[in-house]
Amino acid sequence: MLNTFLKSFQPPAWLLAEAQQKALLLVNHVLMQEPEAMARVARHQGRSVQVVWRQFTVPLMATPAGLFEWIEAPTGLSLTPDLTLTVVEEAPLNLLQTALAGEKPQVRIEGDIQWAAELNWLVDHVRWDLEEDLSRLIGDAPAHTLVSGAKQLADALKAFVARRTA
Amino acid sequence: MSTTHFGFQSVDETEKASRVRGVFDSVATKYDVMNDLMSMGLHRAWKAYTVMVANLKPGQQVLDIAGGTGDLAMAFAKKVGATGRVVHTDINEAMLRVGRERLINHGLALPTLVCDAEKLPFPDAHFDLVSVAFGLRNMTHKDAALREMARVLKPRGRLLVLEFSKVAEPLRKPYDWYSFKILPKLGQLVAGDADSYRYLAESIRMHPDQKELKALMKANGFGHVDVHNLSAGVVALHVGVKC
Repeated sequence: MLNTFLKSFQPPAWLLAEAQQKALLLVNHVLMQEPEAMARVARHQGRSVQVVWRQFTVPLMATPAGLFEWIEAPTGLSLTPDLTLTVVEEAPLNLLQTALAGEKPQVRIEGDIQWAAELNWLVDHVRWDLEEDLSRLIGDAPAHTLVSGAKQLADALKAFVARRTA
Repeated sequence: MSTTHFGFQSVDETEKASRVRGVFDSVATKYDVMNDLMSMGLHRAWKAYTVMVANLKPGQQVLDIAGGTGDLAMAFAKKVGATGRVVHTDINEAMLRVGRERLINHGLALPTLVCDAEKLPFPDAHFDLVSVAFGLRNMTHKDAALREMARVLKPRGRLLVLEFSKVAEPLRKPYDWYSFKILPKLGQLVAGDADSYRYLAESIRMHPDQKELKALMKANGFGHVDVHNLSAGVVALHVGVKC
C-alpha cells in the first residue's frame, strides 16, 4: 500500500527540480573529493547521460571541470543522450531494500559502452567521505562518533532486512 | 548613449556607479544591523554556508570583491592562515573603511583596497578563489566583471557569487509584499533611508535569476557552474570553475 502511494505521488515541479538540483550538487561534491574521478569525467566532457526512473528523467552532461551539469533542453526539443540508464525496479521500497542490502539496483543500459564503463568505474570506486565533511562542521572526534553510530545503525538495518527477506 | 538599470529606473551607464555609491555611502554605518534585521539573521547562515563550500586550505590566495564590512574576508582569513592571503576589496570607500576597522578590531590586518571589479589591479592566474557576496547585482557591466574575475583566477580556481535571486514559486507573493512594503519602512526606521532599501528590493528583481546568471558565468570564462539555492531561492550561491 505504501509502495502504491509512493508510486502515485507526484511532487510539485519546483520541489522536484530543487530536489534533483540538490542531488546533483551532492554528486559533484563527492566527485570533487576524488581527483581521479574528475579526470575521468573530464575526458568525456560534452557527453550526456540520462538517468530514468519511473516518470523522472535526469539529463546530465559532463563538463570540462570533470563534474556534471543539468542539461536544459530548449522547449519543444527532445534530448538524444549518448547514454541512457534506466532503473528497472519501480517500487521505491524495493529500491530501498536493495540499497540496504548493499546491492546495486538493476539498470538497463543503452548507448555508448565506453561512457557506460567509465560511469560504472565511478559507481564502484567513488564514495562519499561523510566523516571528512562532518569534521569540518563539528570537529574530528564528534564526526567520528556520529559516523560510527550511523554505520552501526545501517548494519543493524541491513541485518533486519536480510532476516525478513530470507 | 548606453543606458542600464538602477532598480526599476533606466539610467545612463556612466551614472549607475555613482548612484550605487550614494546608496552605500548612506547605509554603510548601519549596514550590518540592517542585514540582521532584513534577513532575520539568515545572512549569517548564507555566509557560513559560502565559507563551507569555499573549503579553503592553509596557504591559499583569496580575493574578496565587494567585501564591504568584511564578513567573508574575516572567515576566509582564519581558513588560509598565516601562509595564505585574503585581499579585501570594495569599490565603496565608506563600506571598506567600516570593514577595515572591524577586521582590525578582530586582530586581522588584511591587504585592503578600493577597486573596480571591472578593472581588477591583479595579475592573471593569481588567486585560488574569488568571492563576491551581494555585490554583482550592483555592477554596471556584469559580463566584464566576470571576465576579470576569471582572468585573475588560477586554472581550476573557483568563483563564489552569493547574491539575491529568484525565490521559489509558492513564496513569491509574500516575498514581494515584504520587499516592497516592509523593507523600505524598516530602512527608514533604522537607517533613516527608505530609498536605499527600495533600491535594494528593485535591484533584486532586475538581477539575473539562477539560470541567467549561470549562463552569464559560462559565457565569461567558467566552464562549470553549480547553483546552490538557499532559503528557497531568496539567495543563490553560484560556484564557477575556471576551465
